[in-house]
Amino acid sequence: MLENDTNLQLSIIDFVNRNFLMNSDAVKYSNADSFMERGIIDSTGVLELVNFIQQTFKITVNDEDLTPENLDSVNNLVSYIKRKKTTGS
Amino acid sequence: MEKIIKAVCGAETVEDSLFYFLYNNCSEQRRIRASKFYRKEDAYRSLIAESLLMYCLNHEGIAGDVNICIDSETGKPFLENSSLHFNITHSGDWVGCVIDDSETGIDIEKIREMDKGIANRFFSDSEKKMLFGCNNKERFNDLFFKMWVLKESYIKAIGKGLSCPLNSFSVLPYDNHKIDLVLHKETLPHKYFRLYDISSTYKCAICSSDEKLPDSVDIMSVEDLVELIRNKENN
Repeated sequence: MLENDTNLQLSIIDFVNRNFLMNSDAVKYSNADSFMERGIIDSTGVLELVNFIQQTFKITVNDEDLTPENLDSVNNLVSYIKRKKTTGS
Repeated sequence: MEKIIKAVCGAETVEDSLFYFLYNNCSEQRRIRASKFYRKEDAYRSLIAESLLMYCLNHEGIAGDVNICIDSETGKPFLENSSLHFNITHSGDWVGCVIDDSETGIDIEKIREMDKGIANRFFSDSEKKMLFGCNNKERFNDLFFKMWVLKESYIKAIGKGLSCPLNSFSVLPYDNHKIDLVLHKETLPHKYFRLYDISSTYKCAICSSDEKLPDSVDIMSVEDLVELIRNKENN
């Protein structure tokens, strides 16, 4: 079920909203927005985000994968998770 | 030089007049950065951080127009035309700044509930042994954030960020002064640490290249900072 883009996006957005934005409607962000630049996620939040995607999508996030290109927006996360699921790298 | 370690409390609720003063006091680059944040509190913290840094540099006799640059390889900020090192941090109600003549890092974090899976994924075996020995959730969270601010201050000092695997070194805090650093990779540099009790709900750590660390952090309010900057401008 979680393999298509929309379900992946919804799952990530739900986690981000619940854990970092306290379900506030006041904060609107696009799927391309940088979590760090917009102040949505801080450094501790990155650890929580990695823990979430490892547990939810059953993938291993390697140390070298901890980059903004993989983790710093909804779109980047969707691409990263899909790539890990299909190729494992 | 004597290390400068200062922190500002009350960063989440800033009166309009203070906000406008800080906004006008900051560089255009910082204003643009602050305007990108969704929450006003993040903008406050960002403006306070640069104002605090510039005040401290001014206090050290460094011209106010010193430029902050970013190392294109590591992303670490540095001062153009100065040999001084600095680092800033902000979390919740706090903003902190350290200035030294060698590599240094500072981190402040608000204590909150943390999942054991995070420690399992990111912390070293000796850190996990210490952490999982905590007999209740409150102690676990308290020790987790002590370790986290120490680790973060280290990776900020060496300018590596998360590209330095967090389990490639261990920080073992026995008390605020006695903190062991064990390096699991030969290429990592040795550093010294201290934890500071700035609040019961936050943790603060400094990482330094030498052993001489002050006993306390100089704490001020946002009003104090603005007053100090105004006084400096008028002198």
